[in-house]
Amino acid sequence: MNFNQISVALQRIVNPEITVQGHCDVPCGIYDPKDAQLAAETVEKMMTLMDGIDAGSKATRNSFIRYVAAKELHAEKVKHEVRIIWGDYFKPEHLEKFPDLHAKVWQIMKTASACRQGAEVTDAVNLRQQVDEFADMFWATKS
Amino acid sequence: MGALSAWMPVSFQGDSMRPTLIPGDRLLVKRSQSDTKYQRGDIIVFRDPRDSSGPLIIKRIVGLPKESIRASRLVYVNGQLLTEPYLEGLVDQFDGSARGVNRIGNTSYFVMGDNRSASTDSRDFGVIDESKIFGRAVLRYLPIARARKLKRYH
Repeated sequence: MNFNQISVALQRIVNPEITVQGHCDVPCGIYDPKDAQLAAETVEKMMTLMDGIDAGSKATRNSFIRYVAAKELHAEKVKHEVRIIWGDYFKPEHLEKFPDLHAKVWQIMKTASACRQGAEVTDAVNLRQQVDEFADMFWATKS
Repeated sequence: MGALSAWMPVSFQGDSMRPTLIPGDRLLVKRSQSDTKYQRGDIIVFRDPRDSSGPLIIKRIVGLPKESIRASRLVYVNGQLLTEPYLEGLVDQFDGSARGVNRIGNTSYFVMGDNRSASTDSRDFGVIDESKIFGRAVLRYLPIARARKLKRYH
């Protein structure tokens, strides 16, 4: 081997001509925090409706129970959607940019559970704000 | 050059093999020989089975010839949940919906990306016949800090 051949061989090792794909047809856009945000807004709306209802009659009791059921469902949905983005989308380099990401997710889990357990509108407002902040982190990694 | 051509340096792109492989990794691929035997856990390179002129793809073998496979994010081989140490516990146990139920043929392999939620693999395009396998990624040589032999599991 002369010098040129060695040089070409080294070049080929450092920058291979062949690329192999860790292939994924689905674009990364499949991740979107809007479902979590919508679910958090629904929780807030249901809590607000619960506050404003006089559950004295059969009809209003029925409505009240429906609000509670929807609140339960959507608070759990918030947790699920946030967990998916947190676990599947976020990467170590994102964590360098947002070192409080884990704490934020943990906070959302706790607040969503509080929304399921109780009926305080302030919990729902906090949940919506925390999910919005989580969404901000997500979109910041896309910019 | 005969011995050298058995080895192929490649550049890796994409997210579907995280956390094992990261975009920009340089890998050494050992080309298939007539007597090459592949094992579960091997990371293999093959041509996109849906496009003979398409890109070379890299995935991990999770199912061997003649096995029964049920795969969602988790993998069941002959009805038993497969232990996959290379996933480093990142797979969410929440999703258990199976798809791609297969009885693998006598000469085929079921392959998946380690990043289960962002990988197009045998769950979508089916099994890979051994004749279509280009070779096995044996080691990562760049970046130097993460240069190491790619572990075989079985």
